[in-house]
Amino acid sequence: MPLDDTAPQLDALLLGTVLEMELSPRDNQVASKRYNLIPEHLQRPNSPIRRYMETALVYPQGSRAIGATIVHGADDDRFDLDAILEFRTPAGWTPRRVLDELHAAFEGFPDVKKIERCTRCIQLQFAFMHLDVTPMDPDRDPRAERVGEIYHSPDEGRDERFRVNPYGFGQDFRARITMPSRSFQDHVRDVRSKLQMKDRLVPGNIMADADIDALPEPIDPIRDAPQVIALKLMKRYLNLRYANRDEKRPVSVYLSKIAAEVPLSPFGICAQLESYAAELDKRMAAALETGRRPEERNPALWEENFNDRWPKHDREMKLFRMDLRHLVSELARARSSSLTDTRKIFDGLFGERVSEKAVRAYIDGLSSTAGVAHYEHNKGFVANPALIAAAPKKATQVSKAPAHHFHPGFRDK
Amino acid sequence: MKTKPGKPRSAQVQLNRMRHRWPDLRPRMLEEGRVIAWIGPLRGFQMKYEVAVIWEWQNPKAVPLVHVLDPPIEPRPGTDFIDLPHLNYDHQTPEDSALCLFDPDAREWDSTMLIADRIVPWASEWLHFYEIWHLDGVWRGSNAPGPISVGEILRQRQEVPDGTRA
Repeated sequence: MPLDDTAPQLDALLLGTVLEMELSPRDNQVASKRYNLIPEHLQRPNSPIRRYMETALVYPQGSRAIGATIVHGADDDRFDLDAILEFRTPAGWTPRRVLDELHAAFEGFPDVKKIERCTRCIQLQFAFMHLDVTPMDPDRDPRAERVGEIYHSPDEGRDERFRVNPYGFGQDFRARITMPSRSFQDHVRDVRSKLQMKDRLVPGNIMADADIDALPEPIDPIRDAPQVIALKLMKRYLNLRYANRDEKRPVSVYLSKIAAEVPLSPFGICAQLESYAAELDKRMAAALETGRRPEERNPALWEENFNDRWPKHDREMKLFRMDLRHLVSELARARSSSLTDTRKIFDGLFGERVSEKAVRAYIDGLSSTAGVAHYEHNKGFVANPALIAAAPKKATQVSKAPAHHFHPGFRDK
Repeated sequence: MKTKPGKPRSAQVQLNRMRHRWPDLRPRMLEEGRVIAWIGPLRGFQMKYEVAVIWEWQNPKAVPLVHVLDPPIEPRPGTDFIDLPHLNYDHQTPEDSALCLFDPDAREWDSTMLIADRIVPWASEWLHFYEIWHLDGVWRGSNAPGPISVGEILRQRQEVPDGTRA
């Protein structure tokens, strides 16, 4: 595995792949509006739980809290978003009752197509978006910031409560991420601004178009960090791998924690993703060898075990290892493949639609105007030099060749 | 030490610079020492090609030529070598054509310049655009004014001014 080598053109395609999976600025605003409507809806005059909502607090958890939201990609263009809804457990309510009452209270939520009561959350299903709202009972004061208990109420089996701190995990994750160089961030912004990003979320009747456009959504810069980009690529890859399997996939919070623990690679996005896959593989190998399942803890709340639901069997870890090895070997193949073959490799890894768009965006982003060309010493041409300078102390040496024009002619023998 | 403008670069200077910038392109003497050939890997879009940079070092007018050895360059399906963009076309053995990397009319290359700093990076850039051209048939690199392939040159020569074929 050449984890210590740059792959500038692959990096550009990987970046394009990630950007094609993002919410558009408008989608971000629609999603935010829906978060914000949760307390409003639950406090409406005829809400069955209105009186418990006076001090309720809603905030994002999961991918949205760490800048890692992507379109699911396996079945449709759907975004899965998560929110925590904090409110005190009404006296005498069991976890089952909390979830059942909340399920009933969401009835009539604007634009919602279907409302599902899950074992730990209520899932609001909109066109192209699922919003999982997990109720949480906040700890009593003095309280560590946003620590509380969530409810678990399966169809079969007993009710339980688990102490969690998703907010604390989000903060810890952010602190561990190393932001890339300024030129890398500028380049990502530049590429994004040139993309024709598709609006997927239909605003429906909950808000007027003008209302959305008037509220520019603050953009989370963490989403452009290579560690987060690698996480998004891994999630997309696994979404596709597990789409037709009757197996539990590795949980996102576990993947997120490890993504943040892999140091920023000085060799670019491809190397970051390879290092990340290698780290996960190493952990699975160690777990299988010792017979001890991984137990990644929430650094913000030690008793919260991110692996409480995955893996349950060795089989799941072996399957995951196979996927990781497949990813790494396909990336290695892409490193030494033509663009035509790389496109096919990306189809298999991340899906045809997104890879086609990523290649198109790459090609459209090239300038045919003669200009200075960048090249890596002893390697060759670099279309986007900012991408191989992700780490502040870059590992590569890039120089410029003077502007020139290609020109056809006859060989003068 | 910088060479004064106007003075052709010596073989030693070119060899030194190549060794510094492109150590994997190994030099060897060919044709009884008249030609220096640097042979080694060079990146295209992402994969590496084996290329040969050929330079008649004793001839001040000689232009360094870059040949792609492996994998060999190929025309797009249904077309011929003559349609490959920006070749220094060898009509006897088209598959031995070198890459045409600069506009001679614009004086983008002369013997005072360094092969390592221009010819080799431009060849890598050519390979990058060649792979994209293979994808959809559009050359996206910079072009000197006029046709982009020898095939296009010949077709234009065959046309009479009113646009009909001669």
